[in-house]
Amino acid sequence: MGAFDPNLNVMEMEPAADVAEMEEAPPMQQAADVAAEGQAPAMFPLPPVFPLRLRTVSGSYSGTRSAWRLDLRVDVDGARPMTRISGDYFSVSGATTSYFGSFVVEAPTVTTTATLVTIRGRARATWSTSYDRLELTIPRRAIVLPPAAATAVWRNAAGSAGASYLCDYVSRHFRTVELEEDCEQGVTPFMSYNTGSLPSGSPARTLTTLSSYAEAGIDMRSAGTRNVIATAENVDGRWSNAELHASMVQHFSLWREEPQWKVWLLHAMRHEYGPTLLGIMFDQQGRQRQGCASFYQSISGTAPSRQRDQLYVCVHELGHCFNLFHSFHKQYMNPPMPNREWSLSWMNYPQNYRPAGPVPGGSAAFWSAFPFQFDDLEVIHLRHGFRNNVIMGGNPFGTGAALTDGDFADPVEDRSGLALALEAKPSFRLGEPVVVEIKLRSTDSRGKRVHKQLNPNFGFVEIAIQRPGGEVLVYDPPMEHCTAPEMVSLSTEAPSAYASAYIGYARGRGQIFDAPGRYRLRAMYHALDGSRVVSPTIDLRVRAPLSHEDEEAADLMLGDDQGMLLFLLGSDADELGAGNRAFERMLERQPQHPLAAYVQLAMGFNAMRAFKLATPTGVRVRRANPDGAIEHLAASLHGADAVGVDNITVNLATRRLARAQAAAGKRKEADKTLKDMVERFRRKNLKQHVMATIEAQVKATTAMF
Amino acid sequence: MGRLRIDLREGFDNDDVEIDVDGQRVYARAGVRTDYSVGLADSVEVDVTGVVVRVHVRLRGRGLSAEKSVPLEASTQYLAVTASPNAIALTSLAEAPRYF
Repeated sequence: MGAFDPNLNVMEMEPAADVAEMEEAPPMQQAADVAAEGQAPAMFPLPPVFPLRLRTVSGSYSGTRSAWRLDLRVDVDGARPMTRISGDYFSVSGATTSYFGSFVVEAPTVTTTATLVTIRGRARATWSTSYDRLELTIPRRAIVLPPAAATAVWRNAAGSAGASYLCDYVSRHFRTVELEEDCEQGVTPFMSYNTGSLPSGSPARTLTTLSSYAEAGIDMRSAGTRNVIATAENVDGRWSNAELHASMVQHFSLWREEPQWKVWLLHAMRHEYGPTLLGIMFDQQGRQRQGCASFYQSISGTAPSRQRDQLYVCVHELGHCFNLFHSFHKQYMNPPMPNREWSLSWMNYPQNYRPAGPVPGGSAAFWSAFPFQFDDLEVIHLRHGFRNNVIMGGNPFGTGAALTDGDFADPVEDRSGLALALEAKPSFRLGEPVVVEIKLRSTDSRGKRVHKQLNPNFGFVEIAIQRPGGEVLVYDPPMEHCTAPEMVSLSTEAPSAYASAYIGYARGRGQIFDAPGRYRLRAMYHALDGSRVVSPTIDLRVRAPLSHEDEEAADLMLGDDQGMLLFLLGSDADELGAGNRAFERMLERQPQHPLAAYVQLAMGFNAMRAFKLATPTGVRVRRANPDGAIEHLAASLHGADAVGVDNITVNLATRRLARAQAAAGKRKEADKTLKDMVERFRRKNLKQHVMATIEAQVKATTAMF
Repeated sequence: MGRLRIDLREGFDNDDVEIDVDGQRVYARAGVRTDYSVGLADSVEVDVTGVVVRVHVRLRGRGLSAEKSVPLEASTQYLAVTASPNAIALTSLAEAPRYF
């Protein structure tokens, strides 16, 4: 989603830097220059000039340009290069920074001279762009000098330059992850293992969990608070996945329900599956892959084989947190990949090792050849996988894009001082208009000025909807209200602004909630300073009809005309005649059905309006019909509680009823209607500032009588 | 008396699974799904007697079933069950499996 392309920034485009300007003297010349500066009198000989080693250019870089930040990963030299370039873009809007997308260049051409590394290639990106040719230039520096910055220039197929970024060197690692480890009482957690203790497939070295990942290019750092967890937290000394997850939420001090490069490893004794389960990545709910566990029941002790098993299990389970599947389960990934039972990788099972060719497999063969590494494709995933496919709390284990990609992604940084929330009933009948409440709250004690018009019709709030089956769309109202913004100040006394919105019918799309199933919704508010404030995702369910009456009611509510009538709260327009006839049939055939309350609501609002229709012979006016409005609105409010109509809609309908009663000469009834409404809301124990708003609305309505 | 442990491994996707051992129903569960973080969907362990037992596994929703005679060669005998789109495979294991 989104119309922005960080690779194309035409208005601000500068010519690509002249590469010649970046060239420096060859290192030997540099050394000679240095020596010459401090040249001693002729009687003392010059020190010999030794050639200086050059730095490798691989590692991570970062640069910003206007509203974009680019985190770049260059992987073309150094230890075990994968010959790839990748990067993540973040959009900086006001006080919020949001992930935008990722790209990878998989077959770059690398040209190295004495002074410069030039890398060119075509990128594959998570968004659509015609500027997909990347040219990266990195000056070569002597080892004694600081690393040089990388210049990235994007071009299109014709070679025209788009955006360019100057990215400062950050680290020789490609990604950085914080690891918090906790330990069950009585368990001695793994520390380190010397790979030379037993036959293996690589030079001997001492490995820890952290250094195993460092060899893959991932800077894994110990973080958080190390807790000892009482065994009593699990039932009968065995951990279930639910208990592990609960323990993670309680003890993982860095845990949040959002993507972040942070992960938890619990060293525990036993799982409920028994001694055959040595470890598990249990976190497959909510924001997944943030935690895993090793079980020491079968692998505890200091014998080399046990220490080797402990290292293996820890690195392996953390690999799952990076969204790696077993070598023999790659076919079950999304998208699927060929299995690699022959792989000498942390992600294989030694007993499942099947080398190519007529050589024996199995555990002994595996261990004697295992180099204590991930295989190349796994290293590429760890270093260059699209961010949400790798980051903990990103895409679910083994699956692809979700509702939270693109514009509606969780911001990585939010200093807007605002919080947005969406509320709706947890379930709706099929055919029931889906109405959501939008609440914008100030979290800044100094207060915030925000738009008063939070209904998506005005364009300051957008709502993304994921339908059953995965289709994601952004609600596009059938009509937009172009209006001068009205502002309101949120303060300690009145910290929130509210709106309700019917979002069941969209321009070009028609009825959105026209199938039973689970829907996920998320809203975004465009704040005055450009911040994009995103709400948590909410779920709602549309229930399948349980009876013939429910089916008939759903059919009568789900037409295109009916959707438009609900959006407009009624209309006399001839073009919507079919919808009006369906509504009339609803009231004839099923007046007591809960969905009839919405029909009564739309008809009531329409009756209270005079309707003007321009015809070739003049303007036809249907006068307001207060008595008709009273009948419909009273019936609607009578059924509102049973069907669960939201408070804001009830408020609006009640005030409209009062106006209809006053217009019909029934002033006493009108006053009572408003008084009863205030009492009704008072009994709901609403917040003081909300009650103050309601009372002000009642006063304003009364002034209209 | 020995033990038979039956591990439901790859290929289960919200399946209704029934397992009979020597004609006795030992397992019946709906919504069985493989967790690919360990390659296991579920596991059941039962007491068995004799030298050989007959294991019958059924996936009701898919109309698949398979049977196998399993020699009891150890105090705990392990049997792995994997499901593919058109078949169920039952494999006796020579030793205790390791999952992680």
